[in-house]
Amino acid sequence: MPDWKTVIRERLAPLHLKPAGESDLTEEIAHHLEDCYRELQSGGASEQEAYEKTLLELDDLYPLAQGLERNQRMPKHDHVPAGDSRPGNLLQDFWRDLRYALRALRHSPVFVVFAVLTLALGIGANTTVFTTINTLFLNPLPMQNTAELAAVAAADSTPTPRSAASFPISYADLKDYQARNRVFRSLAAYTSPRVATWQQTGSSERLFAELVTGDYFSTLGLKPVKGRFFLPDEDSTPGTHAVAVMNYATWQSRFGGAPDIVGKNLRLNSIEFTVIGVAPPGFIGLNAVFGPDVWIPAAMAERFLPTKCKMR
Amino acid sequence: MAEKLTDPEWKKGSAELLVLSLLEDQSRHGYDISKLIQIRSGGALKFHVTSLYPLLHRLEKQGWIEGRWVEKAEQRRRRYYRLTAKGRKALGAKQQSWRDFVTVISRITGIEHA
Repeated sequence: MPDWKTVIRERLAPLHLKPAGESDLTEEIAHHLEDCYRELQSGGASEQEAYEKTLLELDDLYPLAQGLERNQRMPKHDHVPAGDSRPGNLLQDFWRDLRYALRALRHSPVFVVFAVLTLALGIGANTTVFTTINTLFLNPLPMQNTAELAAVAAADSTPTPRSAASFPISYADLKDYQARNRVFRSLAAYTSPRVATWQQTGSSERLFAELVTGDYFSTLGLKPVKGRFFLPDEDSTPGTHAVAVMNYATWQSRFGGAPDIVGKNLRLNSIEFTVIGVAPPGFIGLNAVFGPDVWIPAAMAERFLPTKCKMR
Repeated sequence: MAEKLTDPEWKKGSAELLVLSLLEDQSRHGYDISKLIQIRSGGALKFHVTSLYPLLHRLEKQGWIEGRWVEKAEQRRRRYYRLTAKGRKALGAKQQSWRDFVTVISRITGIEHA
């Protein structure tokens, strides 16, 4: 008995039928041809005669090609052998690849979830590492003589310290160090960026503010691109000078680089601050990676910070 | 009538009616349908597999017939087709349409039914 399925598959190949449809159709037609073949043989035909006559059934494939529904057939395309260097249609190929990828992904949802999670974690980790490197090495502080800068922090000096980590210095200690300082030209301090509510007419937004001592910018040797930095008396009396220096990026992104930014009022945590200047581009403070939108005098801490977050 | 019908349009126009009629009383597989058409037409009508199976698939897609793989003891499985309720209605309409057509042609040509 001839292998009718193979014969049929060869004949159907140019029609590009979908695998499921082709399998069913092949089996159905194979049964039909087997019946024909058997009947011809039982009628006295030789094997060869029966085979040839049965094959006549497949002679005209046109009705089959025309009759099969479009959705039973694969889209027509040329098979591209490995290493084929013929130029293709970029857009068409891309669209076909995209559809193939989507079809393949739809069949493996678990794989898709893991792949997406892996990619998300990988991209997140890379972004974090790059941001750190970019801040620390590729775009260091925009100031001269960075070698003369030193970070001062408190440390546990007991014989058996519980932690090797440094601790923040309290404001009172800072004042003491500043008074007794014989080592540095000046001693300034800053906090980490604190969340503040920027209240506008009808809406409010989140901003980050860093509390700094009055000599913060002068200690770093920075010059403002607009306006000025803090004056000594603006950080001397607690809660009296509601002034702010704006981050250059914030000035550009949130205020569109408005030329009249100096003198404008910002209502932060229900206190009207006046913008007195804009920091130089690229300067985001000394906390690597994450900088504030504004800097405000440390003397404003008592009024500015919520009760539980007062500066120590 | 041993002579085959030479006008393929006749066969094309009546193919659906023929297949639906053969499935009216019982479900049949493709080869059975093909043989019955050939035998009952006295060899005048014959459907090749390349015409018959696309037709069956089309009728199935229209919901007029329903194909089902059936396995019988000591026999290979076969796909049997049966008429659906929708197909039965379509068959009734086609039979009436055919009768009307033959009547009209007879009136015009003067050819009487055999």
